[in-house]
Amino acid sequence: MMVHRSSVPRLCAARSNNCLMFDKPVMNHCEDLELTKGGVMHEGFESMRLGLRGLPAAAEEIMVYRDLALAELTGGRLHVLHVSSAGSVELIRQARKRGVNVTAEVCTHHFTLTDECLRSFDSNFKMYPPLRTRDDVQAMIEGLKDGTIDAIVTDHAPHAPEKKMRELDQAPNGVIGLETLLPICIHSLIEPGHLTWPQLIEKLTINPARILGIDRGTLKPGADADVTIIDPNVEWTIDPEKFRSKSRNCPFANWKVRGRADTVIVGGVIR
Amino acid sequence: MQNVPEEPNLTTATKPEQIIWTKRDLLDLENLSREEIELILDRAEDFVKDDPRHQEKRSDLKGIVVANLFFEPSTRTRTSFGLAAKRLSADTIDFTPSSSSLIKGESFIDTAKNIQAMGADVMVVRHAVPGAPHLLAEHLHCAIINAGDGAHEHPTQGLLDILTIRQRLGRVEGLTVGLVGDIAHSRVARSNIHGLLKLGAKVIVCGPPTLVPRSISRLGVEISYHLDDILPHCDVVNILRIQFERQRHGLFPSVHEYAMLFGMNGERLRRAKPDILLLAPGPINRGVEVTPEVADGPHSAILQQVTNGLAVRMAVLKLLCNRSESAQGAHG
Repeated sequence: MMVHRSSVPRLCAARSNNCLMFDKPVMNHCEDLELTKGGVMHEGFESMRLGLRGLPAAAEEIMVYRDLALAELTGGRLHVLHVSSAGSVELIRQARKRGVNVTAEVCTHHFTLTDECLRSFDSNFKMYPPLRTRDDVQAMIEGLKDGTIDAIVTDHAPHAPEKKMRELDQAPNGVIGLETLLPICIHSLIEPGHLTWPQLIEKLTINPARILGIDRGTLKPGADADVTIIDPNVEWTIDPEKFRSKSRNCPFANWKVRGRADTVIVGGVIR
Repeated sequence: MQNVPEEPNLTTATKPEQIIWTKRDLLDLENLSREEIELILDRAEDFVKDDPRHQEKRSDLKGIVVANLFFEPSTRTRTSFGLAAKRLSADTIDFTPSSSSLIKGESFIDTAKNIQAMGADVMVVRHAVPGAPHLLAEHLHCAIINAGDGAHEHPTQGLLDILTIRQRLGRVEGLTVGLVGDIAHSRVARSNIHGLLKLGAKVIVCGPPTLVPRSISRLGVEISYHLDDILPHCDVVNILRIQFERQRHGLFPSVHEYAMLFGMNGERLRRAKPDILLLAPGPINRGVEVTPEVADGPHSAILQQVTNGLAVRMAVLKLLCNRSESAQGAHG
């Protein structure tokens, strides 16, 4: 498996070929660094209104297209990390139809929040890829429903409060998501009826394991007992002060949500 | 001007339909109501004198501490706020980042908290990053005035531009106002747009396509790339400075071409309405956005804008401080 941000196509193609030997995907954070230089939030109406420098969706889509073309050229396997733009989802959908060996993932915040959150100038809404528009959020949900997007992830990025509590362009990118992953999925995908529980569990367990090529994510006899027991109905309010994580940079503070991990078993041991 | 009484008496000058100011801060014009904008403009008129040198010193803000925190260079706005505070007998603190602990790594919120701890009641904040004044308003309890945050807003500049229009043309509603130049990087453009639209003006933004974001039409303004096309329709043209310091490179081919297409010169002015009003927030690049004979000519209100800026800032300081006094009174 290789996570890379290289901008040299020939090198990427070579890596893509090389990964074939190990049945591991090339995993790319798709970003044209020239186009995103100095950007703070998604480029569009909201960034114009707030006077903030934009990160265009095109910066992601150009790299997604490049990597799809290289995967097609080499026959290698590609996994697109944290897809956020409607254009990227469509590129992946079309490539898959052509038989390109590609999988994709999306973060909870990208199918839940939009760039309008930045009107508060709160850096807990600053991450890369950035929060985009309502249309993009809708495209993430459609991609999850039709299977174009295989996995749901957090892109968990802890930052100390004093690092985040800064002028927006100086605050680091990223939010935490481990402790809000499940309730946000329930809120945004189960409750509106976009996914069934089996579909959601698949995107949180079986599919990520399959993409990584590791023997995890199932309950079959003989498998490692990595099990999370979920109480889907417990109601609670997200309070970052009560997180086990040391960081507080959560974009869902004070949300009233449903569902929580009741018991976590790792390697057969209850934690 | 002619409507100002000899002895301004602010308590009786209040019109019956006027609202009471309730906001602690002045952060932007986008979130003000038409009534709130008109309240500031009306109060500012009371402070306008034909010659600011005859402005008598008032005691409205005696005992109040006003701190200027300019994290970005400014001449006019900084001086204007400082003088406005002094005219109202406030004590003033002037903070310059180069002479401060910011270069030692202190965060700007901590710097502001220290100045608040010295007793500042009002903080006038300029910063290169949009939202920096909003961040201070979140973390501090004193009143915050945004004196320009990056390319976001510059509310007192918007207010003084609108005040100047109202004085010279007698109204704002129904007028067509052209904002010409670097719209993309201009906080003055955004504050003008929000204020003018709320007061019923029609706004056209005009400049090279690289400096006029297409999405801006969603705010309710028209877009044009040809100054000569819109000029005959404009009652007011506000000439914005090219923000060389905020631009990424390569947004227009040359300064000379810009001056040819968008510079306000005498010949171009002949295509305009005979009584067109020209504003420029300054500082201006003479010979680029506007030629000297136009800048100093009869249509230009550039110096009147500066005078009005003082009045607007006095009005804003007084409204925010009166509000905090009455709020404290209510609690005590």
